[in-house]
Amino acid sequence: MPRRLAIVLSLSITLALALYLDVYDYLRFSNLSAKLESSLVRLEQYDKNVSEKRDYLARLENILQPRVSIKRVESLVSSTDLSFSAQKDGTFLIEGKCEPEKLVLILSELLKYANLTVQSLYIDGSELPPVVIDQTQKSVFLNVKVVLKGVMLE
Amino acid sequence: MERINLFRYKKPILKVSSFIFFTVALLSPVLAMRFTLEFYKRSVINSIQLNHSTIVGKYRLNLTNTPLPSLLSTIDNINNQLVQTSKRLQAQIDHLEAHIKNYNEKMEPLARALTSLQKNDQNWLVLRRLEYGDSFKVELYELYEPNAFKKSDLLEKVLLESGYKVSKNVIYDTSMPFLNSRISNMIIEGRK
Repeated sequence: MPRRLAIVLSLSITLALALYLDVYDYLRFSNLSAKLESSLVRLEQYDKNVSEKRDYLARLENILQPRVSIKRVESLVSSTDLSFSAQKDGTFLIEGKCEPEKLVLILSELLKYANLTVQSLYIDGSELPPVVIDQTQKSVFLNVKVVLKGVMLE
Repeated sequence: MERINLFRYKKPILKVSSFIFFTVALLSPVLAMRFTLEFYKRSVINSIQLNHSTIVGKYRLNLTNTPLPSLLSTIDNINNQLVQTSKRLQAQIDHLEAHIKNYNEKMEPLARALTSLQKNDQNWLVLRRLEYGDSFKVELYELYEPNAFKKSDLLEKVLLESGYKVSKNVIYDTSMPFLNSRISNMIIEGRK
């Protein structure tokens, strides 16, 4: 092999390997390690953020006590002549005719729970005040419409 | 005596074995640098692991034995999952906060107003109509002793305390001499 060519070839091989094994690898590693560092920093931030939100959510859920399930409300309403139905907008509608005593019972029960809000309430005394004539008591019915909205009703 | 260069026209060559030896000799510092670089890489990775030991331990990341590109891909996946989780939690928090705000604004005045309408032994009260939503409207009949505190006045007070602008329309308020009482029919309306 001609000496000059051999020297040039040998130097070229050395230079190419030095560029690939040392320079390129170092630059690649530097880039990847910087990315790793920033990814881990982001991971820490996201993890902290999620942990804090979980804690806050747990505290909010603890505030909402006592809670009622939608089945409990349904069974409460089913003890009267009122109807109970879930609406498309996520609210619940209670409507129909009801005796005042039962309405008072239902309302006092519904007002106990923190996970339920009464969006609207309509009570109409369709009949005049009760009149007792010769031991015959005329019962009064009220027209009732209640729109409820709630959270954590499962 | 004249000195003659007998190799003057001989082409200089390098034997293959010499070429290999020369190349290896040149490559040795390159390989040495390579080994040094490996130690440097390990020390950098160890340093990163030490700085973020909590999070690395929590998510069981193996920094030393996993290739960096796949490690980065794993961490990016975890980050994306956490972003989604964070959005879901924020939606739940917003929902609950809106509920609590709504509860304070709506349920407390309603509960107080309904409590104020509870019947006692002295007064006789009949609810004719109640409308509650954005406003509060009550029509009622009340039979009361002239000196007693009226339920309708109590309701008005409760609505005022709850931040309503209250208007009262007395349809009639007349005395009933045979019962020593008065009877009234009125509409009380509260608007925010």
